[in-house]
Amino acid sequence: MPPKTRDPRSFLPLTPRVFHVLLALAEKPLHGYGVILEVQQQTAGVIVLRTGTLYVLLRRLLDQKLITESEERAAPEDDDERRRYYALTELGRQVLQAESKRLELVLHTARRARVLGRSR
Amino acid sequence: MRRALSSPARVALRWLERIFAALGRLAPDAARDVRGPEAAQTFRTVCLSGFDRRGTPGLLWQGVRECIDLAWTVATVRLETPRFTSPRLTPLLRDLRLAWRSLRHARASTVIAVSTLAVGIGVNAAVFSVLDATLWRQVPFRDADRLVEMWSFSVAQKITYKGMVQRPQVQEWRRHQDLFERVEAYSHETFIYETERGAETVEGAVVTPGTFGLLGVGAAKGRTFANDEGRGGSNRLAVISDGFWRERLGSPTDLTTVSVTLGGARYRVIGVMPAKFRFPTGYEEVWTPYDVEQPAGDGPAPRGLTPIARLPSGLTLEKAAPEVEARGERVGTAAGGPPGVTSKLARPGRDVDDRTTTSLWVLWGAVGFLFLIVCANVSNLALSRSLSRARDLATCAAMGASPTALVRTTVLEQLLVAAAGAVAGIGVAEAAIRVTVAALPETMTAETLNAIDLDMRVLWFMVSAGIAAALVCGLPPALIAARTSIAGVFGGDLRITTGSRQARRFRAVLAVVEVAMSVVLLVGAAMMARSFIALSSENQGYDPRGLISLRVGLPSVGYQSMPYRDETAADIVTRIAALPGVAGATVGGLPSDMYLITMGKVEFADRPGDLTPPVLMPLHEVPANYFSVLGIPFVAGRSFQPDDPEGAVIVNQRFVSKYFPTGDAVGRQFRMEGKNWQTIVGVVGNTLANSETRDSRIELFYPVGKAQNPMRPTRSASAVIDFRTFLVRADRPEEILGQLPGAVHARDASIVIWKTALVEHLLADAIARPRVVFVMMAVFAGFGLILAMVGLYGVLSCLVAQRRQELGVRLALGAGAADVRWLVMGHGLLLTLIGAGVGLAAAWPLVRAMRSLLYEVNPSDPWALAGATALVAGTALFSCWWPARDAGRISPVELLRR
Repeated sequence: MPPKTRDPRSFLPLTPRVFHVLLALAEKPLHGYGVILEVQQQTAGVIVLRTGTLYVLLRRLLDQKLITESEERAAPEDDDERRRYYALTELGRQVLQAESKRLELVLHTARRARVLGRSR
Repeated sequence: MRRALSSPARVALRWLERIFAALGRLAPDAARDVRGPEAAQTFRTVCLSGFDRRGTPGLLWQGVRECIDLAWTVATVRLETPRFTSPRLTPLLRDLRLAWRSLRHARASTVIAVSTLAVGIGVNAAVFSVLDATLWRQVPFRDADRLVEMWSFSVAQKITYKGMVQRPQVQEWRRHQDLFERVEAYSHETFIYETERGAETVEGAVVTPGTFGLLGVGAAKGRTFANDEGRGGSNRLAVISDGFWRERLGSPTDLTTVSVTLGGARYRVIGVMPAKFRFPTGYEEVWTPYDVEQPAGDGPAPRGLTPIARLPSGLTLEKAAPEVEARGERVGTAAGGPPGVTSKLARPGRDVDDRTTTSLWVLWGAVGFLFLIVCANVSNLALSRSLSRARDLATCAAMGASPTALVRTTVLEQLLVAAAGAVAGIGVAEAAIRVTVAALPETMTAETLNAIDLDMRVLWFMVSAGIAAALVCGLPPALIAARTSIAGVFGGDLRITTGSRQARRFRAVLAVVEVAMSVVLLVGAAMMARSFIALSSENQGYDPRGLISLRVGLPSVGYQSMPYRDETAADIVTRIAALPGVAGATVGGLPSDMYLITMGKVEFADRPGDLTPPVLMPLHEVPANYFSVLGIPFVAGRSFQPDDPEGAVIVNQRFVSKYFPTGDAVGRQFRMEGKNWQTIVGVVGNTLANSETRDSRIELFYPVGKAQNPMRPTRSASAVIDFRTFLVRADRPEEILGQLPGAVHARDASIVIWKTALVEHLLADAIARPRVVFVMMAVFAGFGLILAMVGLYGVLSCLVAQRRQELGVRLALGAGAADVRWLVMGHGLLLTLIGAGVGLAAAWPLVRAMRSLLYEVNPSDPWALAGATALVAGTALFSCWWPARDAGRISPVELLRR
């Protein structure tokens, strides 16, 4: 019997940090520092992940099977053997999609209420 | 390419990585990845990125922030472990987290509340520690409750004094073993400590060898005296203080080679006492042994001793004292002492001046009132925070939270504020005790045998009291905020965020309390200010401006002859007078010095046989120019002349008003019982004997060498046999000070320069105690006034915000802006008036307690009361003006538009 997978909607709503970490890993696997840089860039510096917070978050996401350790690494000349790379699992990708759709709905509601100007 | 790390950056990075690793080791399993090598590598990369942006400061900044984040993360994860997630603890921890978040959002008021609470706790702890060390704490010696000192008591004159017991008396008391388990003795001594830099004076004590054993205190380094030391051949030993060891000897580790030269003799240093050891006062730095049974023939021979003893177990001081007094005269006369003198028992280290005791109590009362203001301020801030979260609390209530849960949240906030204030208060207490001890004059701190430091019992008591007070003060705001109306929230009632009627009244009560307490402090400070100004401006009876006091010690070698001492002094006066810039020089000491005295009954030639009761009179042996150099005016008669008859004397007005109230005293004769007749040739004005109490006393002046057998504190076998005090007047005294030792040593290089000072500085030191009390009370009063005015401003700002619509309507209906302003200010001034009235009434007990500290100021002094009230009113006007101005600027049109 295949293992029962959790409904992605049961993880919603995601905290901003979790959302942006998953979003950072959406394109390709990254190591810890890479996640920090990517999140900083995505949010224009609004969310700055510190090392301690990052690794507790990554451990939780690993335990919830939203991410996994990846074998894919950078070129040896740019790599460090101490680094571990992380990638989204299928469940993680589904959760990210569900949260993105939820945020899209929120954005649509905000536009309708003229919070951001006329609705399109 | 990354630039190379500088050396400081490398060191900083190394330390930051160590801290990060240490914090990571504290992480539970749920956060085990922070312990791993990847996390360490990421941390390093982040720090290096900081270095790339801003160099070493950037590296440090980044690293510190990362470490703080890791500490917080580890703590948070730990709190989520099963140990902390019990059904009881989870809601509490959740509420604590909410409380923490709420405080972070109201950073300004939280910082103000924590700071004022820290200052209140810290200053209270510091002043209370001084009080405790000086008045209550037992002396830090073995069996302190059984330690007693023996003082002398003159039955006829009803005078108690110490330090005059002779060696045989100590031996005699040792035989009374039913009264004393053990008897030792000590005597104060000022040693001449000779070094390569020259000679300087060092305070010390001569003690019987068993004294340290009696006190139960051992040396921190080396040893104290053995019981058979202090006799001939074994008396050139010294035990020194920790301060002496550090500052004068440079902390040598090997004492076997250390010796000091005291009074021309070498003393081998055998021990260093612990840093906090004080005996018999806080001044002593050197102790030498003296065996009363077999004293050495050389070395310091005390002119009088103070016995210190231990009572047997079971015998209290109260029971022993009458027996000692009953036996004292018999013991004294059997040992060759004077008749009519017995002994009294006293606790060691309790010889604290009454004025010092009163000063300390007054200061503690002042910080107590300040603490009340702090509590009111903390309560006010708690109310503001609670009301600003009224919507949140109302929403929680709407969703089913009980009033208890709502109150708990607010109380937890107050608990966090109290805890933070208590922690910060410990730091403030440490700093405050150092400032307090430095600010208090030595006369106030040297009298106790306890080290003046922060006592842990006192600190924890004040911390607990501070936390309790903060919680108690936070309860009413919590209750008020918990009663927020849900309908009001959803109805958009402005009073939700500014407070219901209850909140307004509570705020008004707090403002009144703060104003009242600040009035109390201001009245106290105003009284001390007037008293201090009166003290400072009081006429000394002579002119201290430009006057220098130079005290010298004449060595026992070569100065045994009194006429030779007088001749030497006269020669030194001539040499000093010849210095450029010197307007006049004389010898004889300040009138307030009491070096020579005469005692006995007085008989007057115009009423022979009619003797007065025994009287003690200070006397001075002075040259003829003494009065002109000091500027002491003659009321009648003249100064001494070379052809004056034997027994010529000059008296002061106090003597004349006591013994010749109706007639002229010049030419009249009197004598001390058993002595020759003396003729009054002049009467001078009174001079102050005590700068603090402004007392004057009877003074007698004789030509040098002509006083009839005065009692003088000579020492038979000490390095210094006598003292002389020269007084020098100069237009620029600071320029003359450095030349005076040379003029003295030009006569004889062995004369010791004891102390040189400007007389104005000596007089300022003499009133240091009232000055310190005045300054400290002024600081407390200023701080209290600021807090009170902040509270008043808060009340009126809320009033304006609450009544904004009403005020807008008034303005719309034709009221002028001035009318609206006066409406607001009137409310503020009413609160101030009520607070001032309460404060003036509350100030009465404080001022009555201060009565003994005041000079020429009545406790109901109208100027001080009016001044304090006017200052509070003026400051209140300023505080009320701003909210009133805002009220006057309300635009009715904008208000209606909203």
